[in-house]
Amino acid sequence: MRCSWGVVVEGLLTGSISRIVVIEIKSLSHTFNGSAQPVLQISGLTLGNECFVSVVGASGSGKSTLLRIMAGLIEPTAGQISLDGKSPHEKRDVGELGFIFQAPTLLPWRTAMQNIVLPCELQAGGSGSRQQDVNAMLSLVGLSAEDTRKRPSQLSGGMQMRVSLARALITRPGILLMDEPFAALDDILRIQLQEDVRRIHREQKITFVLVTHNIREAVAMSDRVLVLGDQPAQIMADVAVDLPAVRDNDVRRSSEFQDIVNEVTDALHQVV
Amino acid sequence: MQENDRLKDAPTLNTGHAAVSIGAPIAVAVAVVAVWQTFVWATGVSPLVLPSPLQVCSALLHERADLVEAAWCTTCAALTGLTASALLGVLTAFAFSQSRTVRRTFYPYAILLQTVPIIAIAPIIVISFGRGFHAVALVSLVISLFPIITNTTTGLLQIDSGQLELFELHSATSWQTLWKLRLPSSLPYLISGVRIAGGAAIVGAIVGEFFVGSSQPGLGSMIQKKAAGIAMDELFATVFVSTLLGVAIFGTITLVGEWILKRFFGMSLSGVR
Repeated sequence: MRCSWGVVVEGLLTGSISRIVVIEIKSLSHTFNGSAQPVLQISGLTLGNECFVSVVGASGSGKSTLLRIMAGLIEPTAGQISLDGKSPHEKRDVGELGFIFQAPTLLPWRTAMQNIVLPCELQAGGSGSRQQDVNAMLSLVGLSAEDTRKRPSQLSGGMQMRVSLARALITRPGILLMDEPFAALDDILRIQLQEDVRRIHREQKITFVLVTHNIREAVAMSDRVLVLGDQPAQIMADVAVDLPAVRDNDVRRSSEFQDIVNEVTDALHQVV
Repeated sequence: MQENDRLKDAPTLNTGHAAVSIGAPIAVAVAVVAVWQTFVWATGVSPLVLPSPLQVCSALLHERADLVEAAWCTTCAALTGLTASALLGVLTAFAFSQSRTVRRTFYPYAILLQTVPIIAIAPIIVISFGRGFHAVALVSLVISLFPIITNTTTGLLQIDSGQLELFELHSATSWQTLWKLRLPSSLPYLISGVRIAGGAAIVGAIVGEFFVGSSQPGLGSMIQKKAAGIAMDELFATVFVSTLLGVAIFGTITLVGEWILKRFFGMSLSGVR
């Protein structure tokens, strides 16, 4: 039922469906097996309400661990995390949680289209999808029907990322978690995809959480930036990004933008 | 699109050296044959000790009917053994991939397949199973099983961690993960295993034929016959055909395997040992 396309795409395009997911974290900590020190320690955090939140921190600071805990892929050793009062597991099982990996993570033997509908196949009780509705979704992420007949090896890195994005959105999630999705792309492509993801966020009205080590990217994409400290990772700063919704070139070059970048940079420097 | 253009440029990196990669080995072969022929001429060594390349060529020509028939018999036995070992190997690999305990318990015995000298167990197999086609195919099976088991097991277990997380994220059942992820992912490994096993299966068949003797025609029994008759030029010709057959099997499996992977699965053998 999750993949009944009439409802999904209508909702996506008109913005009439708003699926708010609020993430609540209480005294969360995680220690990897055999390690004495926790990698992550967060006393309290609430995010959501269609917000676009970025988490920045140095490499290996535990950002990815935090994201995987939110996705229910890692069970935290202590503390609580809830999405709309439910466990990540419960949200995940009904397809309300989308995840974008660092690499496109596409199955090479499937065409782009077969990759996109994979979540519908895996979901218990998932139904088929109507072609015209799928096409509407494809234009949302910027893929042509011709692209979707190709295998991943025939697509460029940017196109593969768009396929990955379409796959994450196909179950109509209320929250989309992204783990440094643009790290492997060149600058021009990255900016293009950043703007597209911003646009999708505005149109879909869902909660986005982006993990990145790129400060400018974090500021350009989000409404709120969390700066994560090192060993154990904890929230060092919580910066509101008060900029226009559309982050075009003018916004990216404005002094307001630069001020926020500086603020986040300073917070990150205090950590190191 | 500009994104696609960059992609098209990538494969041209390799093509510049194609002439060198084919030409250089051929030049070596020509040089070796020339030195060999010159050596035989210059020293006047007896053909019973070392026949010249020309003598070997002429033996190849007048023995061609027998050689082709022998090669065919050997190929049939080897392919029967290889098919059986592919089936058995995939089933074993599947069992290995399902449980660590199964793997730990039985893997030492799989290694035995690799370490036991084939020349030592071939006579045992021939005596136990009779001097015939089965025995030869069985020796082929024994020698070709190990690479298929290890390669396929590796393929089934070495799954991209991101892809596994993706399946976990969408609450895939273990059956779905096996069918939609593990099996297709392991295919390049399986084909690579079959390719290594193919050359081994030919060796196994020839060794088997050694012990079966003249009751089962094939390159092995032919080598034995020519050696006993000290027909050195014909012996060299038979050895040459045997070697060529191994290369042909390896090459055919590589080409067909690559084609299947590329055409139906969008993958290639290049990432696999």
